[in-house]
Amino acid sequence: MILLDAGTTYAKILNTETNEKTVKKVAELEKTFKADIGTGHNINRFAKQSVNEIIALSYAGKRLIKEKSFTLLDVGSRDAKYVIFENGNFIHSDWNTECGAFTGQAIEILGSYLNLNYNAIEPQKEFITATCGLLGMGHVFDMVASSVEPGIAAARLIKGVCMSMYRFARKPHKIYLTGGLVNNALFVKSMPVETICLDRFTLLEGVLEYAASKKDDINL
Amino acid sequence: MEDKDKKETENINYDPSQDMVLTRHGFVKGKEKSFLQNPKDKPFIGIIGIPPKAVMEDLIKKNAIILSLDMYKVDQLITEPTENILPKAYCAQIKRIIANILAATDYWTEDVVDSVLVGRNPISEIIIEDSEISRCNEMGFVADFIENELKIKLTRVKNNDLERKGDFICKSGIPLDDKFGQIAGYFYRDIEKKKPFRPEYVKPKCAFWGTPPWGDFSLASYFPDETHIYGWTRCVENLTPGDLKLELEFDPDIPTVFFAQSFCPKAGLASYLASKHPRGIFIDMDLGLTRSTVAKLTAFLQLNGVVV
Repeated sequence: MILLDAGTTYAKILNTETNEKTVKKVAELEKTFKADIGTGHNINRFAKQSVNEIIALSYAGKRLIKEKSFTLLDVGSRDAKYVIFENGNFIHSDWNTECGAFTGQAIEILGSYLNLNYNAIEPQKEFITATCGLLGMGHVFDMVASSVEPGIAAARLIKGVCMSMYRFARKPHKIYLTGGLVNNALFVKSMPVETICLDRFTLLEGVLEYAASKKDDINL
Repeated sequence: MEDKDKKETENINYDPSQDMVLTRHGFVKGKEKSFLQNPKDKPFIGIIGIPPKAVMEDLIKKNAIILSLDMYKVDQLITEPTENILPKAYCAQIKRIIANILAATDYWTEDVVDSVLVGRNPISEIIIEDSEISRCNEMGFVADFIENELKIKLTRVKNNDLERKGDFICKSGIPLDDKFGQIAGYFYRDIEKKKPFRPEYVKPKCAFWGTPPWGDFSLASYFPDETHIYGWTRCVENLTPGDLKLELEFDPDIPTVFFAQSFCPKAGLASYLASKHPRGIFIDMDLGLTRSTVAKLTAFLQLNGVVV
């Protein structure tokens, strides 16, 4: 069975028979590609059946996290979403869908534009508070123009994004993190609380769990 | 036979959520809206917000045709008529009101505006509810625009009605979009002294807090019938749109969607109350529903066991 998490920028593909995992840009997916089931912003273009992203995230948390109470946060290129469970029960979720988002994509674009290696930059205490990725980039360029090192300016933006994500997720004492930014060491180190990274295929684990729970309704 | 086929095709293509117009008769849909081609011997009055009861009763006495400029929609033009007046990132409902005023006052020619008002008299007066707290504190700006740009009589009124009439519709089991329509109708029924619509109470599965989703009523279709209404819409059923104390109420025991128009000051209130509610979520909408908003809403309802 082929599972697909078709995000805004990247597609994560899991072949459940071979356990082969692939990440590629959504733009590079063949137009004829059809996964059996999946989730993500672009899923309806590339899969026969789809699972709501928050639902997938919830089921992933229940499948992968041993604690009964946890906060699982997914920071992608376009948006961020989280689920909170207490004593095994769903308590809360939210999703910053459009305005106030595009943070992940902004961090990636900024890194390319300023030629930054995020793994080699130290986290900053000071941070930039920005409403969205585009406004955040504007702040970084202003700081660079006022002689702040590009890496430090970008790190302040990333710290600001981390603070925003922490508040967005209702200030938990520990965060399980998934999404594209788990691969950004500076981002992970800038989180203000203990942060445990799950891989980028987490949502697909949720899709699997959801499909198993609804096997009478889902045709695989 | 051909006529029948044509009629059936029209019915299939007809989307009431795109055509709903709020008038003193409640929501008017589809072909019924032709009644808005108003008789020439009656005054044709636009209203914005919820004027106080005394003002509305006076209009009824005059046999006025009343058009709610909040509801009448020229959606496809919502950004075009306002782009030189308002910033792009601005409350879509205010844009809609401005676009509606421009359409209803013939500022735009009939071939540009898809007007349901062809053949009518021009609107003769606009009454604007300009209360400090009520549906919207941007109304003062809208009033300024009418005064400065349009040669039309403008009356500013404040709604201080605080006598609560009850919330039977809000707490009933009729579908949520019908609740919005009936609440609008209730407002006029009360003024016309007609028997109030009082459907039976139903135990709630969830709640909707906020203003009606003017930009896209299809939002209501994702909620079960057992949805109670809180916030400003409940204030309207009570005929107390400026009753902030009532507006702030919610039921902490049921999952609640706190809804607001994007860029509306009420979004701050909705977001705050959602953060206080044990199982609340804040949802906003700009011009219309987006796929992401629908996904966020349906996930919330599903994860809370409201819908399967």
